[in-house]
Parts: sequence; C-alpha cells; structure tokens
Amino acid sequence: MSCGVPGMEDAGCIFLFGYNPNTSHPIVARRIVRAKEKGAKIIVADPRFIETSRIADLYLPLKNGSNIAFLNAFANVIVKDGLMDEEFVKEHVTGFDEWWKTIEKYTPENTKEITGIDPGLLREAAHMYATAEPSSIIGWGMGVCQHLQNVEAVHTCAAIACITHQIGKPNSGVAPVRGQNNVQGACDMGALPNFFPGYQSVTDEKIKEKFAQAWHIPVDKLSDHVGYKVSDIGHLIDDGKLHAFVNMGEDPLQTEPDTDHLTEQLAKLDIFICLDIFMTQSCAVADVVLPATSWGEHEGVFTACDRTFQYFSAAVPPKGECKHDWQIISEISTRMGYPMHYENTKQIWDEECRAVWPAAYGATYEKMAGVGYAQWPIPTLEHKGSPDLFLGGKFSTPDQKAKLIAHDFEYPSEMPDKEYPLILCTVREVGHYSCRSMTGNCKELSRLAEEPGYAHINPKDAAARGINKEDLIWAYSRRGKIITRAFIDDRVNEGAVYMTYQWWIGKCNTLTLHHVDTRSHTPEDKFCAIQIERIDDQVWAEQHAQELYMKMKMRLSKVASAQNEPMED
Amino acid sequence: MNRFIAIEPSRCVACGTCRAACSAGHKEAGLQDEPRLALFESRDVVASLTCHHCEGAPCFKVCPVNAIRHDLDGCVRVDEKKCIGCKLCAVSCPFGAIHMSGTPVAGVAGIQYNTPTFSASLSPILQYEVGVYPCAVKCDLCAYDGCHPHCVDACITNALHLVEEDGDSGTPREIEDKRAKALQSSVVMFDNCNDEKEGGERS
Repeated sequence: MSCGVPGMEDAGCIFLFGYNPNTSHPIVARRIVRAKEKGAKIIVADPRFIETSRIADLYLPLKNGSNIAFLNAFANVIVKDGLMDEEFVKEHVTGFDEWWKTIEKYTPENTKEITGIDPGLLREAAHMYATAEPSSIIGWGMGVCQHLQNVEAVHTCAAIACITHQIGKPNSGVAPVRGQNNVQGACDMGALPNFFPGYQSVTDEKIKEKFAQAWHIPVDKLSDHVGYKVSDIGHLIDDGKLHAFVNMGEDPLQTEPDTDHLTEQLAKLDIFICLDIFMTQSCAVADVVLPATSWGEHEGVFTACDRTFQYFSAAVPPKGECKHDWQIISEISTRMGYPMHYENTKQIWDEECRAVWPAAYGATYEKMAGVGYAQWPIPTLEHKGSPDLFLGGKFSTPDQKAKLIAHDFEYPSEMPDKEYPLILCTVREVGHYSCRSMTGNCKELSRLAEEPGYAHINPKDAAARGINKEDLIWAYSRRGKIITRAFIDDRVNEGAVYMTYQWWIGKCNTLTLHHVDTRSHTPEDKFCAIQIERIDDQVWAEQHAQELYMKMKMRLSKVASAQNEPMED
Repeated sequence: MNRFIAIEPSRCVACGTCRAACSAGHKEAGLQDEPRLALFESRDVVASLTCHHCEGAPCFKVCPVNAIRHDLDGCVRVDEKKCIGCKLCAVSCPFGAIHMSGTPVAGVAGIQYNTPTFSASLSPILQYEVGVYPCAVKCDLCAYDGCHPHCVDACITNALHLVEEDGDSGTPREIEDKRAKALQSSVVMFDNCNDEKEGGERS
C-alpha cells in the first residue's frame, strides 16, 4: 500500500475495486466506516452488493470478469473530461502517449455491453475519484488479483492514480490489501521466487555479492535464476522437474485450484514435508509432518499490508515436540550442510532483515516494544517510519518516474455455457480464515458457521432451480462435484454463485479451474463456469454431508494419532 | 428501569465478533454456547439483533414453569435448568429473539456424529434432534459476568451500546472500569480466580 491503513480515515475518497474489507479485513472496514463519518466519499465497484456498498456514495455493479474494460473506460473518462493533472503527468510520469493509444479505444459507451455499467454512473464515479480533496485512495483485493488479467488490472489501477495525482501525497494512492495476515512480511523477508529479503533481485550480481558476504558463502552457491511459484507445483511434478516439496503452514489441498488433480500430483513426489500446527488434508498425505508452534506460542514480527512492522510476543510456551518455524528451518539447514544457529527472533531480525535491507534498518525491537510499531521505509535509527510512499511524486523506478502501462481487455478463460451456465467466484467469509485449519478448530467460530459452508445465490437463480433457503445442493463443474448449502442472497448478482474457499466438504476448489496468468502465476479463482442443482432428499443430504465431514475428521485424526504411541527407547 | 443492547446499523460491519464473544462468554459460564444475538442482513441494512427486554415481556407471561423471570434490573432472563423446552416463549416473542438450543449428543452415548432428521430449511422452532433436550436461549445481558455485556465490549466499531437508565450503575467512568475488569477476567494469562468470584457475587 502506498498509504497507511490509519491514514485511510483522512482521505477524501475511497474507491474499492474488487475488495470486500468487511469479510477480509474487518479492521480496515472499521477505518472505512470512520472515513465515511469524517466525510469521505465512498465508491464501490463490485459485482456483489458488498457490505461497504451500504454506506457508499456510488455503487457500480460491474459484471464478473470485466475489470480491464471497466478500468480502461474509467481512465478514458479521466483524460477526456480534463480530470488529469497534466503538470504531475509531465513531471513524474512516462509513457503516456503509448498508454493513451490503448485507453483511447475504451469509452463508457462501447464497454457498457461488457461491464454492464451505465455510462453516466461511470462518469460520475471517475469525477468523484479524480476531484476528491485532499486525496483519493483506490483499494483492491483478490477481486483484481485472482482474475486472468490480474497484473494488467493492477497496472491500470496504478495508472489511474498517477494521471490524477491521487498518489504521491499523504493518505493517497493505491491500497492493495493482502490476503493473509503476514503475506507482506513473508514477501519482505524474501519468501518470493525472485527476491532476497527487502525486494532485492536474485539475479542482480551486486546484490548476490552482498548476500553471499552476509551469509558467509561463496557467491556461486546462490541460485542464479528466479525460482518457481506455488501455483506451478502440480505442473512441475507432472513435468518431472519437482521431486521434493516442503510446505510451511499451508494446506494446498484446500486452497489451490482443482484439488482433486493436485492430490494425484502430490502423490508422485519423492518426498513431501509439511510444517503445521494441525493435521490438515495436505499433512495427511505428507511423508513427514513437523509440528510447528501456533500464534500463541511464538513471537516475532508481522508486517501489515501497509508495511507496518509489529512485534508480537508469545502467550504460552510451546507444548510437546513443537518447534518454532525458525528452529525447524535452522535444523534442516544445518543437517543439509549449512550450519544455521540463532538464539532468538531478535537475532534473526537484526541479522537477516535489518542488516541486509537498508529500508528496514531503523526498525529495531526497541521501537516495536509494547504496542510500538515501525513502518518501512525506515532507513535510520532516528527515522519515524513512512506511512506514505512516493511523496512528492518520487517513484521507486530508476528515473523516479511512474511508467504507464495499458492493456487490452480479454474475456475470462472459461465462460458460462448451456451446460455450466453460472459463474463461480470464490470469496472470503468473516468468521473463518484461509484453509480453516486454525479457525475450524475454534468452537466459538464453528458455532457461527459450519460445514459444508454456503453458496450464495441470487433469488432468481434459486427460484429457477426450486432451491429454498438453507437447502443442500450439488455444485459441479468440469473438474468435480460437491455438496454445499444454499444461501439465497439478494446482494448477489444474477448468474453468479459465490462460495468461500475454506470448507472441506463444500470445497469450492474442487470446482475451480487451474489456469494461471503468465506474469504472477496467480490462479483465476474468481471465474469459472459451474451448475447447481437442488438435492431432492434433503434429510439424506444432511446426513450425507455430516457423514463426509465425520469421515474426513476421522481420517485426519487417525493419521495424527500416530504421534500418540508411547515413546520408549 | 430498562436495560437493553442497542445498535447503530450504519456502523455495523457484519463481522460477527459480537456473536463469537457472546458464545464464548456463555460457554465459559457453563451455559448454552449458542449466540444470543442474530445478525440480520438484508440488501440495505445489517444489524445485530437481540432481546429488547420488553416491559410487558410476553415470554415471561407465557412460560408455564416460571423459568423466565423479569429481574429488578429490567432484564428478562431464562433459567436454562428450569426450562422444559416447550418453545412457547419463542413463539410469543415479537422480535424472534428467543430460540432453542441444546447440548448435542454426538460424541457421547455411542453416537459418533450428528444425524439430522430434518431439512435445515425447516423453521428453527420446528427442528427436533433425537436425544437433544432443548432449552430457550436469549440475551441475559451477561448476568454471569456482573452484567457487562461481552458483545458491547467486543464490537470493533462501537456500533453496540448498552442502554441503561438507572441510578445504581454509577458514572460512565465507573461503568467503563467495570467493563475493563470484566474483560480482564477473561484474559487467560492472568490469574483470574479472584475476579471471577467477585463477578459472581455482584450478579
């Protein structure tokens, strides 16, 4: 994010595009409520009438999968209606003429068929966003990132912020929120295929030299190419390129698309190791499970989506054989020939983050003590941290100028047809987190939402299939078939079904399409074609769903029980 | 005198934290862990709803076994142990703020898992699970914890308020202190035995 989350309260306009903060980040939603109370304008563009739409000044119900057409037309209005900050573009932006050649073709009128948005409404939104004082923020989530044209949409959102000068000043710019609590932190620390810690390229010779020195190894020991991405694992196994997989705290058999296929692929690995705190579906098929510590048992630093480092402390000591992730990594590394030893997380923080990443040097544990925090870039010990990036229009490119990139619109990979007439869009729900391995084991949260989860359906689509509220239904696609429960929801657009991806029985990833974009390799989780059907015998269906859930729980507990055997030497 | 929980719908973000806090609080007190608040969601309005503690509470009047009492503090409460599960209160409640809940038998008595014998689309009042003794659950303003409603404390946007008009509860500062203390008693890291005892006496 180019602004801080608290700063969102003081923006003049917040434009949410493909982001539902109320279910993904209630803490961000709280800031938006406050921003509204302080007088900010709120614009929501989403196929669903999401929670924030209730308090929005403008709601734009765009069609699923039409992001690029919408954004291009939005940018077109800004330029044609003279809303562009020409001086800012002249001083701080490059590539405008080339960009305009593409954007020029997309008007609100000629994209109406694709986006379903009334041209007048789109114009009003563009005016509201571009002219808001003192600043506007454009926020997006997985509604942008999990589409075929995801990187393209990010480029266009950023371009819109640049041409209107709604970036490069306090509380403005782009707010791409992160999918998980510490994704930003994992990226910061180099858990990316192309970066060392601190977004330093793995292919840059000077950077490699620096890390070789810091890690006391010859430079040729460092990989000279960009690594693989998690969504490629299945294909790589099929191609014989991947033989071992260490999976830390994730349940790919729940969260990756087309899980039935992935299960077959994982079985072909020579060795599959999982680090987790609970027996998940992935752990159950792993060769080795290393017990890790839970959030209450370890300490460390999280990075929030707005680049804020926060220290968190352990509440209780670890139980049994559990070890912290960093201890497990150190021990594996040591046994594989690179001795690694740390006393505590502070040492790791100082040596592996602050010492090698100039922008984080000032983020000491002392600054983060108690409820303290540090927001990078924070290059010196005296530095107070930076809630806002690119102030004064100085961007992090070699020439310090923003480069505009435009893209043409493409339709999603699998369009609905006669056989599969509905669009499945996978979303989040507030009470359960990610693959549900943690929240699913919390009784209070299970009380609020339980298996097999819900498919949110428009009342018209439900009526056409004779589906009643709370009925169990079949949902199927070209990949698989699952049982789920109908939530008849007038906030949902006709022709689309929304399912949350954490249910083990009503697992929407059995239905999703494993198709990734060429740049970020993010799966197209927001769009595939499915059909739904009411189950005639509801009592049988209720019992069947319970049975499936119980069978799964028993299977997992049987695998987990291996550790209960008495250990005698 | 009357006390009840009020909500500002424009602030509600439908996060459900109030319901989770309600469930956790009652569960810890050994009561039914069913949340006492419902999240009402329509296209244009979202709000947590719970008992209004009506002055002429119909539920209180219809209870055949006097399991429902109208306490001096204005709160209408159900004695879960006395309730016979007749559902009259749930039928008579004008706001649908009472529903039935019971301890499932799955996991005990040789039954491995729930075996529902009805469709979930059946009205909650008509649902009947074999072996489960249901009782009425409703908001008790957290009587088990010195009447500091956990939902109010849990609300992340301050959309929920305890509306009260009484001389005994003291200044807002004192009410805040009481709430803070109540919150502290639910934090696992502290030795909270003493606080709990105090809370018990107060109620």
